[in-house]
Amino acid sequence: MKRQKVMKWLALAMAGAMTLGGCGEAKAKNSSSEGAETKTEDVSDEVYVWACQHNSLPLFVNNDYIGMDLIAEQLGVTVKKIGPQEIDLPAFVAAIEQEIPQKPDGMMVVGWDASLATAIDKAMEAGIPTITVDADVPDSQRLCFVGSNWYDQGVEQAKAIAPYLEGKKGKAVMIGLPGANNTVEAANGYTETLAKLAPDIEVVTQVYDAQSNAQVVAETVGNLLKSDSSILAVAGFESACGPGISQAIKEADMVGKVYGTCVDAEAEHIQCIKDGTIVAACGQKRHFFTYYGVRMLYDYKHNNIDFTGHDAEIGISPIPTEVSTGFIVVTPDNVKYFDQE
Amino acid sequence: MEQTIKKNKTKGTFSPGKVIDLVAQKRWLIPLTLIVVYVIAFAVLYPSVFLTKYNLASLLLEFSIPAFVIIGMAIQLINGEIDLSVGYVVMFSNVCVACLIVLGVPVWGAIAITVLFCALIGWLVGVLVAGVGVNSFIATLGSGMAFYGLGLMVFDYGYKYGTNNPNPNGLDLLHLPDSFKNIAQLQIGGFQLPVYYALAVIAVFVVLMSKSKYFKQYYYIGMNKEAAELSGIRVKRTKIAAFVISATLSSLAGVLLVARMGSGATTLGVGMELKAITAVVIGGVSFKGGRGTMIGAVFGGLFVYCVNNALRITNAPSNLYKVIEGLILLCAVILDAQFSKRKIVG
Repeated sequence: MKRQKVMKWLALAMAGAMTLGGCGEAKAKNSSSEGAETKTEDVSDEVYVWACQHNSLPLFVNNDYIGMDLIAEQLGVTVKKIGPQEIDLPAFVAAIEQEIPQKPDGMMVVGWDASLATAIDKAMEAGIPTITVDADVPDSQRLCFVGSNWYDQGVEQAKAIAPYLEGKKGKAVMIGLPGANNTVEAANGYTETLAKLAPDIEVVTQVYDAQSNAQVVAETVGNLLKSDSSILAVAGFESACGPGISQAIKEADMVGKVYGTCVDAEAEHIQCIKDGTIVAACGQKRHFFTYYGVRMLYDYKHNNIDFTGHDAEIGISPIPTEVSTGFIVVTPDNVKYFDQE
Repeated sequence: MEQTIKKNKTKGTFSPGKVIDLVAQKRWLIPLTLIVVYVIAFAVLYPSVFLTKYNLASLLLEFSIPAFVIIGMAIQLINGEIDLSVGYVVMFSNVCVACLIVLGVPVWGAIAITVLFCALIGWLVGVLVAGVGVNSFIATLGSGMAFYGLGLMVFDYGYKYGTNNPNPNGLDLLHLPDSFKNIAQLQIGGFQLPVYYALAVIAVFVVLMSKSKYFKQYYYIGMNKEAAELSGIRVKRTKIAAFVISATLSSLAGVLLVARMGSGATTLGVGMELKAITAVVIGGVSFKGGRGTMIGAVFGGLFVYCVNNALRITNAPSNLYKVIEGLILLCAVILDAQFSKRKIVG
């Protein structure tokens, strides 16, 4: 009798344990199947926007477009490009504002000018997650900036040029887009670093306007070189600067006497290094701008991390505020690895 | 060869010829009709996108500041001249007013100095064209280049000054004071102030060009300068006034543009002359002079920006915009040539 009772209780206990274990397993299965549903969630109707002016520049086509196409394919979303073909700030602002009613799932804005802050803020207020890529608009409410740390861009250019200026006394000039925050940051990095590495070199405070045009850069730098023989270095903070600086140095017959550094390392910049006019081309990892830009916006929308349980309520962003994509510094020593052929 | 068309006087008879005659006389009907069609079509096809405050406010804001330039260009074309400097005046004005403010000039003083300076240059160009006899195409191309160069110099100076003399209030060419930005950035009823300024200026010039004896002179001068002179019109003075008006309006556009953007830039305004010409020709203002209405020019301008809006809403590739704009301009010029041949009698 006693044995039967024990067996009965044992059987009940075993049945209970099996039942509980089965529920747990089922729950785990449910959890994993929920995870599986999340991973196979249909996102094909999600649209992320890349807003930029002058947007068919070969620089963008050869780099940024590739990054956005790759991530779009990987995530199964659509990336759309908006903005004027030429440099036209009012049209650029209008393109952003008129995109708002279309309610994209996120927007990446190339921060050409501080005046874009108003349009970015309008997008944010309309509930569209908006980030800046390539160049930042720090006065705006943007969630994140994905791009090069432009202060570091200036630092890299200064570090590259410093050995060529050792023991020399003279001037360095800078050219870029005076209205853009990235140029301001790069100029600060360049000036402060060169002050330490080449203290006898005076960095001219004024940043000359490249107007995104290599010919304008060539004319401006050419005029400077002709009017001031103490100029020993030229730093360019916009993509058109490298070829323009190179042309100016060649036309002024100053190869080996005046040295240039520039941003970006496309084929035309590589050629300038081979010509001996540019000693460092600090290439941006441009594919990352749009690749990680879309990634940030996608992660913002499909957020799985909540620090407090009330992050959205109290305004804690689920994505980093800055993603620094780094540089590729091309010099005469390593240029052979970057031969486009 | 002109076609002399006898008006069909049969009452109540509708004919295609009558419609064409009506359109030839009131060419502003073309852009107005196109705008109405566009509004209806997009309200039906894209109601959640088109009929939103963001879209409509943005569209009107985008048109409002160029409207100043369009009005000036319309007066010039009606007058038988052209003004290619308007875009550069806008550019110069934006950097000049910004620079003056950074240097410490009170906001309204900076605006007054900028506008008066541009009006003065407009007067000089007017004297060159009307007094000396220089072709307005060349004169305004030259003055435009001068304005552009001056604008670059002013920007360089202002930028250097701002960098070397950091303002304790954080003001520089890229960060202008709220007291200035509010001129264009404040909103009433969901629309930024430039929309209201544009409405006011449009209303004033529509009335002036249609009712004012003085402004109607531009039609007579544009049609036949010599005949206008013989009829007692002071052609030279009137032409000079047109250049002053055009320069003043363009300068005001530049001031509003930089107030709207919040920072001075050497790219703001450049190329605006081409859009203005496109707008006025679409609106029925003839290149030959003496024809067209201010309301037509305004509708033409609004239509150009409606097309941009339509292309954005339909997600058209951005490289298509200029193609479409060019085709519209070509159609407008062809229509202008065809309508000009029709001489309506009766």
